[in-house]
Amino acid sequence: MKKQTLIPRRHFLKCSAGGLAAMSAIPGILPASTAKSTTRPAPSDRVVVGLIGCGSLGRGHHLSSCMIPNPRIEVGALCDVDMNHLYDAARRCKDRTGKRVPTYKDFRQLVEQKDLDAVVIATPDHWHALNAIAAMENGLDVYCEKPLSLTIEEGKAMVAAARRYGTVFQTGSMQRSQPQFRRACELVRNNKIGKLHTVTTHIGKVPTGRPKDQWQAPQTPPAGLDWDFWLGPAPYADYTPNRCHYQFRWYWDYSGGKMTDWGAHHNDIAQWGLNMDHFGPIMVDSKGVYSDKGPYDAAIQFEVTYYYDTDVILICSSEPCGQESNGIKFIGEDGWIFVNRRKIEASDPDILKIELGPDDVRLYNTGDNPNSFVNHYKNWLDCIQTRQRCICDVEVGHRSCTVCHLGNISLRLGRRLKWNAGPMTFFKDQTATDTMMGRPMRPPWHL
Amino acid sequence: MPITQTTKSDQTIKELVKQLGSEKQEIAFVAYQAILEKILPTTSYQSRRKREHVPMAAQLATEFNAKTEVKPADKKGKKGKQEPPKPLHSTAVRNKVLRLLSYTATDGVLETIRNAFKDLETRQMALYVLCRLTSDRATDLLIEALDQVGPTFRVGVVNALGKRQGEKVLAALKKTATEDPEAQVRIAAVEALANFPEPANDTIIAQAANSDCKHMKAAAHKARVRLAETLRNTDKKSHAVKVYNAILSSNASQIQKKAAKLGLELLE
Repeated sequence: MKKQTLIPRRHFLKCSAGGLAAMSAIPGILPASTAKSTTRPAPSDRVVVGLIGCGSLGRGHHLSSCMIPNPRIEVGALCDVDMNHLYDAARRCKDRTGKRVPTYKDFRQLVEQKDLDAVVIATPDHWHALNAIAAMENGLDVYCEKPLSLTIEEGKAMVAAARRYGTVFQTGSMQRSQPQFRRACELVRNNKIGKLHTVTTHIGKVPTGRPKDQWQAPQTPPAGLDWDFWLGPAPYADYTPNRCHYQFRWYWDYSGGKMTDWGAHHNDIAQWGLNMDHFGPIMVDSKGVYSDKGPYDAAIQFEVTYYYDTDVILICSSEPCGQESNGIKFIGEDGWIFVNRRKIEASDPDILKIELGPDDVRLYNTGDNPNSFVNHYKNWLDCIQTRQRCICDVEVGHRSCTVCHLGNISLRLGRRLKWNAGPMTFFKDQTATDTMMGRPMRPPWHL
Repeated sequence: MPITQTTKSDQTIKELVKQLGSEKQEIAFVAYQAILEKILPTTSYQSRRKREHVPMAAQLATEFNAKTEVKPADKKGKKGKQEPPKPLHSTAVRNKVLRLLSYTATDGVLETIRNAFKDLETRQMALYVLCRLTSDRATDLLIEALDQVGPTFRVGVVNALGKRQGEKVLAALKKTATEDPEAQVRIAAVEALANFPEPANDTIIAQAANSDCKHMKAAAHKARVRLAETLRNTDKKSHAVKVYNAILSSNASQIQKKAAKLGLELLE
């Protein structure tokens, strides 16, 4: 039902051409404090959000922890191709808000719902681009889980659509909204460890050896799951439980293994520390191992080296960093900083005590709540109001995700790749261009 | 643990393709990966210059086309006629072979793809291969495929053509946009026309935007915005301005009009 009160959040562009030019620049810092209301915002000031993808991440995390409890959000609609997930999400919503929200199997119907202002997308990777573009074409702002896309071509199309429609787009790389990651990158960007020469990201291996990682016989999908719709643009494959619902991450047709699962987080932080949000590596090399028995076909163990034109290399590895299985290490001439979700440490503890001066580079600050999702969602909602770019704007997400895709492409082709980071094209590699930039989609789906 | 590359299989493509049909999924999986490991190194720039990928493609095509042997003394059908040879490999295996072929396909396998189009069970994967083959002859085969039955399949062909350029492609899409009997195919063609920096395409798209069909109307309005952007990005700015202004004075939704305004602002 169309809202009666008008402060349209699917509103007409407020800014002039000058404002548009300002939007095009790298955004400055949002005010450190926005006025916090102690009362629940009026309905007209809430953002009406639809959720596309009600799996474990969608309903267990986004809906239950980020959307329903958020006084600035009104859950407006839910969508999933698995009725079991969809109705569980709807029930949670009703139990906690008293409200029955419209439910859809087809996201194309959800995005046409008139009273929606925005969507959160928590579908598998191979659906992100189609869901997001459909939402943007219907004037909705978007929060899309990482990795942004399944392919580089999809990421480009998402950026183009966001710019075309003036969408406020947040990529779910919420580590940028966690204070210690920002702190680490600020110290690096201000040369507090000397000239940076190496970044290493440690992202773990594809799981193997568990009962659910073994081959499963093709079977009838569970009642309520539209398997053909779940596959969507991906090539047809018979249903097995370990092909979907979380486990899709380890299949090339739907995702990119650990590289896009955790790599999308840590390589994003690496890009931030490297000041490469609008550029990227110029060469990629790799070594990796694939499973010798399946069923997963993402690289299970790997080391990918990215070369930047600033003479810095980024090494993304499935191996741990010392005792730490997961994290990012920035190494400069005068020291190093290691950071992950649990901690930040440095070669010299005094590095972490350095206070930045007024002339130092300050990075986008979404807030100091230790819960990064609080800051990340707040940033998105603030930007929906102000029409500024989010901390993980679509281009940032696309560039970071491209780093991951380049790694996977190098691993798959088994060779070094040269990359024109500006226009984002391969240099002298027809196969990479024809077969890896994008993938044919099963009709009727297309970008 | 050091990362070590797996050892390449010394089995032939023929032997490995046979294993693709194994009932044991693990064996089929390993065979698939082994074939990939053989063909992918031949696709590097240096190897392609030496055309090392060509025999790989040919071997895969041979396996796709392989038929069972029918000896004269073999069983005959009910009417006493010789049973024609059947594909040696199952549909599932042939589709896997096609998918592998997509990494290394050349014009030399176009006949194989044309044959694959004749089979309803393999034509989808044949289209997948053709999407990755960007030569003029491959494009011609795509245009031929517009005659296939089944609107969903034709939508796939249209979508593939929409990523190409050229007069022949444009002519085929224009014809499809106006003459295909299925609405979803016409819609796909209208959307594809927006990818061409051709101002005259706006006439067709604008006409579609006045359609009685709600889906065609919505798709066409979005396509118009994209066409204007295509024109803007290929230095046909004056034409882009015309299309944007036409959108603003049309019955497009406020969302598309907002996009048109944004586009005009970028041109200022």
